[in-house]
Amino acid sequence: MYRFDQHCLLVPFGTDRWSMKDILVSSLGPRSMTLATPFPCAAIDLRSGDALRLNNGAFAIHPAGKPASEGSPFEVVRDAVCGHVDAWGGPAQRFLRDYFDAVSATIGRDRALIEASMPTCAGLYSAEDWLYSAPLPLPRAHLNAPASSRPHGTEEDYVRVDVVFWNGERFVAIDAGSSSLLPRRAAERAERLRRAGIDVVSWAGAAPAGFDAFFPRLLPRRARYFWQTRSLPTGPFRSDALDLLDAFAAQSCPVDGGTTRREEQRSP
Amino acid sequence: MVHESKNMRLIAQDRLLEHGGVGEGMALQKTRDGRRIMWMAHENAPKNYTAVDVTDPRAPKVILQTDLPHNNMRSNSLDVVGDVMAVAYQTRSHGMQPAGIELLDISEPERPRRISFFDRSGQFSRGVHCLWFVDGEYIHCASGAPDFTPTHPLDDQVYMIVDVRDPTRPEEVGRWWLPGTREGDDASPPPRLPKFGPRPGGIRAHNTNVYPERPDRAYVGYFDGGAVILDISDKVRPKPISIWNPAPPFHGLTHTVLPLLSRDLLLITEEAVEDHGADWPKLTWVVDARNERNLVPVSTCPLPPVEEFKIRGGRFGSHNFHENRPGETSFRSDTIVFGSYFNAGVRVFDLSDPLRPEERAFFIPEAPAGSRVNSAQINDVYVDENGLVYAVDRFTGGLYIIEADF
Repeated sequence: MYRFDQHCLLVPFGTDRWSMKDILVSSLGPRSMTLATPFPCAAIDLRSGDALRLNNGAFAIHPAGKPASEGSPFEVVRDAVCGHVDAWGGPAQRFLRDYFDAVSATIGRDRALIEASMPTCAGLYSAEDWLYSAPLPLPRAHLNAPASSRPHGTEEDYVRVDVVFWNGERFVAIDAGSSSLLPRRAAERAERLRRAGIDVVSWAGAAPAGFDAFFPRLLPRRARYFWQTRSLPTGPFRSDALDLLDAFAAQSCPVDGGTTRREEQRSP
Repeated sequence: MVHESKNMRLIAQDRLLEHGGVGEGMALQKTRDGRRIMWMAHENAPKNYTAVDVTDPRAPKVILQTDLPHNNMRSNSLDVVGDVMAVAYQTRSHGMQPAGIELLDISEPERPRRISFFDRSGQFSRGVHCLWFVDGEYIHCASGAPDFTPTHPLDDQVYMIVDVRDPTRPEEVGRWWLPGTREGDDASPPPRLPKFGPRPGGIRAHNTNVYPERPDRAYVGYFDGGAVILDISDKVRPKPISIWNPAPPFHGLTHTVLPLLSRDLLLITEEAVEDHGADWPKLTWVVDARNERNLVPVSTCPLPPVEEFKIRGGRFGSHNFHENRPGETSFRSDTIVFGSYFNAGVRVFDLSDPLRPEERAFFIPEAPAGSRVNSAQINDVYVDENGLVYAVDRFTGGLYIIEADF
């Protein structure tokens, strides 16, 4: 992550190569920003105290309001996230597929609990609307973890992780087993991440059932289920027009506890 | 000439009691008393195998070296699971003995005891050239057989599965050969590749890798027959899934098919067998196996200029790789790979982007004394779980222990 200011961390992701000089802010509002970068970059609002969730993402939306690709909206979101892993990124791909399956399974399993939690909204929402309250995985993310106490202030201070989540307080990185390091260097890298306060979870070969124990690590303190948010559910699809509206509406109508936003610059 | 290196440094060398010619079999045993023993099969007679105590890798020590029964044979390949070692025996010509696999109890490394011998000798058999034994249950090997008559004398070793669950009674379970290489096949004999130098290649099995993560697949280098993926879910009847062969126009001798299983990639080597780069290019191919029935080469590992290396003497080009052997004493990575390149030494590549493999390190020993060529000839490489690299010379250099630093 790159500290933009005291309230905001930027996390380049979905790429193996990036440069600080390429991170440009094209517009900045009171609680939103738009980035112009040649690679995806997540902006994390430290004031929100909430996890970065799927509905904080800016997934492509068709002008007519439909998702840009085939499949259910949730599948579109899943495929968009998985698309940030390279074609031969098998370990991270498998983790993400398992993760999205676990999110879906959790909603199915907790359906009765979810419906019981929104008696005043009966008929307005379905349990599936809370799918997008699940934490947002950022594949191939670059986190600030300097090798020494005197950081270079350059890309050298960053460590690439297979996948990372932001739980509102700290990063939780997934080691899916795709490291290109020898054991000694891998240990040094793990120590850098530890010193930077980043949790690292080794996921190589873990069973999908392991998500039951894993989800709480991705959520803000005291939260038990990812679908227990402070607001009504929102979807992950946005248009530029919505971004503009949000800039005005954010102060009075917080969404999922904050307005953390990122925007991707996609190559044609 | 002195050592040449990039991000690697030599920490020890052992010339193996001046019998420093090692073949393609390296295995690291962790003994019950806590020692670490590197077992190596020799390239040629008179030596069979040597055991080196590498518990202190800076001070390796030969603890055992054995002789072959006669000089018209070689061992070349071995593997170790727990306290059981399997050694391959190949004779110089058909019909000789002993040709097959010896199983040994090495619980006391200084005193190996024969458990059994699996005889594969026959009128048209030289026995076993290469074997793979990692699960303690089955040996996968390139072997001749008493009942196999090849259509060409050089096509005499097939892919064979041997059940050693009872190591006192090894039994063949199944085999596969390229159709047309056996007398009596419906298929016509496959066309031969153009001959390069004095040694024509065979259309026969070489490395036969099977991994516990994918026990229903065998990845077989089939020399001039290319790279073969076999479905071995029914071990009695292996079935081909796909065959990929860059020859012709390349020069054959597909040696190793190393699957990088988590990434759906294959690393495929062609063995260089001629001195002075006469059979160049012998490459290491990176092949996309996301669809295992449609293998697509996407790159090759970058090697130094042939103009510079062919004049150094001996062979130059690909041979083998550290094969991500399962087990607690083996480094495993689907991204960082270590290869043996004869006079170009040990070379390490980063396949993070398989479209653009990057050289991360290399180590080329100085030409060892007494070698018939004026260069090191790194024949095989093994990397332990700590990332320590063990490389061997084909002729006289013996064992090099190298630390990688990247």
